[in-house]
Amino acid sequence: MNSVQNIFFGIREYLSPVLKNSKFKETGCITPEEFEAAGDFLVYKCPTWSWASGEASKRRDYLPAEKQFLITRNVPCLRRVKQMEYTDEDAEAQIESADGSESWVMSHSSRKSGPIEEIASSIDDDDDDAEAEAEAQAQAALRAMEKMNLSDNNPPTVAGVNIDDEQEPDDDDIPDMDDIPDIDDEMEEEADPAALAPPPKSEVDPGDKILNVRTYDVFITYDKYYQTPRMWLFGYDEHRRPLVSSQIFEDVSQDYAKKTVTIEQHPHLNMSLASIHPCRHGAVMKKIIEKMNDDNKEESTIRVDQYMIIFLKFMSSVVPTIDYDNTISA
Amino acid sequence: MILQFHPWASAVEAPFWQTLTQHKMDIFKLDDSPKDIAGYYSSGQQVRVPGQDTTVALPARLCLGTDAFLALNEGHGPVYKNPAFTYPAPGVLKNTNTIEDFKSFDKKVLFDAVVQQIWEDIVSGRALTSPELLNRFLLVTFADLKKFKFYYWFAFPALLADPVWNIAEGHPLSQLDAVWTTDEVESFRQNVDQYRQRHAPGQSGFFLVKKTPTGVEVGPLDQWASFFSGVPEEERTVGFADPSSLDHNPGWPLRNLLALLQYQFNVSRIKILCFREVPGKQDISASKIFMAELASAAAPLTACPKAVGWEKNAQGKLGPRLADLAPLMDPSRLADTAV
Repeated sequence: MNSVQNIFFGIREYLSPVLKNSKFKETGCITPEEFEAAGDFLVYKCPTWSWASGEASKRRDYLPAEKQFLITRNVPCLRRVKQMEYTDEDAEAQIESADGSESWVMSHSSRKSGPIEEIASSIDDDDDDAEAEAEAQAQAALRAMEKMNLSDNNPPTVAGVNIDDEQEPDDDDIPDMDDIPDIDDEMEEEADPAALAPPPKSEVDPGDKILNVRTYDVFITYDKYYQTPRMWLFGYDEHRRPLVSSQIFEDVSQDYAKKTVTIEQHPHLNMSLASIHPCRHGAVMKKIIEKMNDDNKEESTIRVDQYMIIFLKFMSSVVPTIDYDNTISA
Repeated sequence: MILQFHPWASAVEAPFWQTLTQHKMDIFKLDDSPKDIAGYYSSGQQVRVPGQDTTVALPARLCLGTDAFLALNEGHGPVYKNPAFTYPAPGVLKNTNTIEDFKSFDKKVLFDAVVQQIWEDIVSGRALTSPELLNRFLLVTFADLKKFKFYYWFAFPALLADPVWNIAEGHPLSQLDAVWTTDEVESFRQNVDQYRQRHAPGQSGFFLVKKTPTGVEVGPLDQWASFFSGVPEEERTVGFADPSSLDHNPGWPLRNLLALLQYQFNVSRIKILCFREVPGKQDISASKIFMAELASAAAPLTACPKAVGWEKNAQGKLGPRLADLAPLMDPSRLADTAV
């Protein structure tokens, strides 16, 4: 079934014309040339991102061979999303008290009424609601972006999160270490007083067990069908074992997990990764760009090469604990 | 106080296993002789815990990506294709054909061969012009292509110093900006950037440092004599890109660097600069400086010292690790996750 779907996606992509004329302000979509320009700007601004060429056989000819997609590696992810959601409430409360007049801060109670959930569940619905949905999603992204800015200056305190009931992943999910062959006992090394022994967990972080530091490799490809960037995630646990999809979903905002985040074949690698489905990216990006242009009327409007940075801010509302943003100086 | 080093943590990117699979099927086939590969590392990073006033030290990662095999261009020396702000580490890959081979072949022989190479490069002085050779590592793998399981075991050989190196009394690891003026730190930062642009990637992770009236200068290891001419021994400083992010411990690459300095220049006391930067932020404030000193007078190094360096697994034991990529590569498993 999956492969049939993949074939269909492949044909659909093949038949889609390459977007030629810029209309990112009208539609939120970008051309491959604009993807390249926005990617170049991202690499310039945030040198932890770099271009990659991927599988030679999977190269897309509308992008330069050495600039097929963007990658940043070993991005730390300190907490799971559910450990963070309390923090969000605090942050939102802070926004309200600090500056309740922000016109676009639409509904602080959104987490309960859940416009994003509605969007996510009705993502395939007819287009009548599409406008409203994109609007709400843009609002949510803007809100998340604003929160990030706030938390830079004014870090919200982490509420006491009960992490003890953190579910261990199913036994099926983690490699059975008993499978590893016992290497003969002769593998003994010289005593080495100069090697630092790994510290016991409690010493690293007394009284605080939340810090199972995962890392992610984050990819951005150009989705020719939706004419937007598309984000892919590959995660590792603290022992560098690849995460399975159920674990990755722990790092996706619950409003999106399993709805807009799916496991699919990476277009440039022979591997399936978690990906944030781009079907609404264009509409949401359009709204965000409009808002940002409205907000700074005096200054020059958003340029297309800033698109990727804005896109990453938008994505961080979907994967809020994956801290790829830490070097963005924009 | 004894100088203790923060060990490497191997970090294989999943697409590397894909690349290994292709090489195994298309090129190596049943050839299991050791192959040259190349990894890379960046300087140590601490990340702030969101909402808290604390930071977490990230592991000192030695990474292996899809470019690991491309990185050696036969006959033309190594071509390192590293991401920006990283440093190369050449390695040897031994991919066995069967799980039995993986279990039983004599790993010590292979390990000793890599140690011997490191030692020869120190003795010949090749490690002065290509100091990345000090970072040589060993990777033993078995790829179970039917089950998409990859067994692997890294070794990062470090020559054992005897007597050990100490942190000299009164010169503990200190924040660079606590010891130097702001101008000196900035001058050093600019000169390191220039040094990295002008020298081969292999040299970028190791360098000499001296203060002059006009600023803090940076030069390559192989110009030791001219660079340090007129510089008092107490002021001579050797810098290295430090993968450790810990406050009191430098990273593993310093071990073989100290052996090189001891052998080539008879160094028994030397200032060490642990270069740590935030990539792309022009921020090197996490860098450390300290004085390393042999614990007691040592006879000159003449023979290859003993070495250690097999990586411990997730259980903290000397043993191999397993990467199970079936959920991501196995077509039959993929269907389960399709939405």
